[in-house]
Amino acid sequence: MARLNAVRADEEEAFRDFVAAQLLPLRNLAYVTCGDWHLAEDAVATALAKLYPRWPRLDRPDLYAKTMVYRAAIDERRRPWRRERSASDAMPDVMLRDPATLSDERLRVRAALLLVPPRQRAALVLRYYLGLSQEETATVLGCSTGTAKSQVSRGLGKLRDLLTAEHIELSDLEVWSSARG
Amino acid sequence: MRVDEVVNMATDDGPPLRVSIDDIVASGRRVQRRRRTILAGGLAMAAVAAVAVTTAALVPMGPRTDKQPATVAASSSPSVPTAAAAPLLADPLEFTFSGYSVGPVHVQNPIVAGNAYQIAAVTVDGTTDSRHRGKVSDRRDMTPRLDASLTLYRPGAYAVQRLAGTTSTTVAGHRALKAEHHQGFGPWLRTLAWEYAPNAWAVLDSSADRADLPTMGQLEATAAALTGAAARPATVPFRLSYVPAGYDVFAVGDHMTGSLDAVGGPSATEYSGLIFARSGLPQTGLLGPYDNMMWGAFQIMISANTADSPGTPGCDSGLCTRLAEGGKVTVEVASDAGSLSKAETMKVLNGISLTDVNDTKTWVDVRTALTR
Repeated sequence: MARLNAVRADEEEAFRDFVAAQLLPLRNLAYVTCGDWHLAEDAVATALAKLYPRWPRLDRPDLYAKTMVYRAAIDERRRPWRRERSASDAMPDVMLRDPATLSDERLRVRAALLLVPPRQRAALVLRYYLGLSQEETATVLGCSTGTAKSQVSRGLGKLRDLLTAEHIELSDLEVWSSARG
Repeated sequence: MRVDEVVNMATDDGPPLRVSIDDIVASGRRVQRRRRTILAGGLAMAAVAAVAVTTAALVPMGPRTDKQPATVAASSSPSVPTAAAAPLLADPLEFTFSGYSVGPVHVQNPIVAGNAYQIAAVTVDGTTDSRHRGKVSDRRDMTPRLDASLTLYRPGAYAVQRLAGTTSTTVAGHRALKAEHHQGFGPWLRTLAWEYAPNAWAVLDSSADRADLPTMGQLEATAAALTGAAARPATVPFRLSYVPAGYDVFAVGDHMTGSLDAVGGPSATEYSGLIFARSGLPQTGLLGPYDNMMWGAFQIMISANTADSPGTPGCDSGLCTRLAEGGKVTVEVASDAGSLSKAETMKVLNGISLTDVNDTKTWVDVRTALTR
């Protein structure tokens, strides 16, 4: 097909595999960054659609996608005017205590995570949930490695304090992260 | 509990995905095609902007087709200014203002009209925009980049509460709000909104990589100079014999898709765009114009079949295409997120009868075009 010349069939298949594998993790990155599921999905869908024509030329499409999703989520979150959506959609997540222990703990964990500053919690997701190195985390955040380390460290401290207040203990991350390399 | 377990617990009850891999691939193909089209047409427009007139005083643009390539002359030509300004508020699907300049700031003719808003691109002397290739960091030319637009919302369409807590001001005696934001290496973002008619807001948005392009003062002067022109119905270069049940026109684009793409100004190779939406699509309380990927809508796009953006007949991933005018024109119907079946998409495509895409005098009022 002439319109698809820039992305060959085998490349498109690889792109599809990439999307299948990355869609949910990227949506989680966007959600943790912006705190809004619908906005997160819009950010990921738009970022991946924009990634498509660039796909054949990228050495690290995974980093590129994470960068685009992070920027879309952080940009939209901080804008006083957010595009594409009705204000009526922008309902906050309900944060009510639930008698069920798991649900209650989930709400408390989520509330704690979303109280960490957005850039710091994105750094935590990139480093410890998506498994990026410090250097890769810095690339996605668009900052120096030192700044990325600082964001991760401050985010960990904040998250630990918030979870402790909820009587939830955060594991020894130094041991865990060093085990991941 | 480890951090990955924290993230898992915070995210594992997210809502089901609304988009599929096919949706994303289909949208990606459209992005690819649009980038080529916009680059091809947009660079020509940038050259036009560079020679656009500018004086220190307010200069109504009036008829400025002599400054535009014939291929991108909007079908809704600017009206000749009259002694008494026409109202900015008219029927949906009509253009109610024309391009004008205030010093280095140029408001182009509006090229999107719809049930909720009109959109016009805004340029500033000495800037380029995001239609140019490359990221800011790897551009060799250091021309400042600006994406700006004027959106004229219909009553109730704009969620002005989004600007709550921002700075109050007035524009030509009308209530107004303004906001500026800049953080780190991000762009300078500015918004100026003013209530040009009861509950109807006009909004100037700018995103620039330099602090003073344009300044808020320039935006305020530009806002104050906005006046109405004789209403001009949005027109399209085709008639349509079939519209699926439950859908109606949401927005029309003149030499552009009927979306936020209008921020880039008209294209030489994009003739017309028409977006249809279900009745449930929010048309009030909007945070901004819809972009070109409206999940659940479908759109018609009429464009030139060029080497940079060749049309391929057939249907794939929600995008159905045919060629017309001896292969010179591409006619496409795009169904976002599977809003239409392939059979319905083809039925819409086959129901399109073109007029002369290069002669805007043959174009028809969009309401007439949809007479079934």
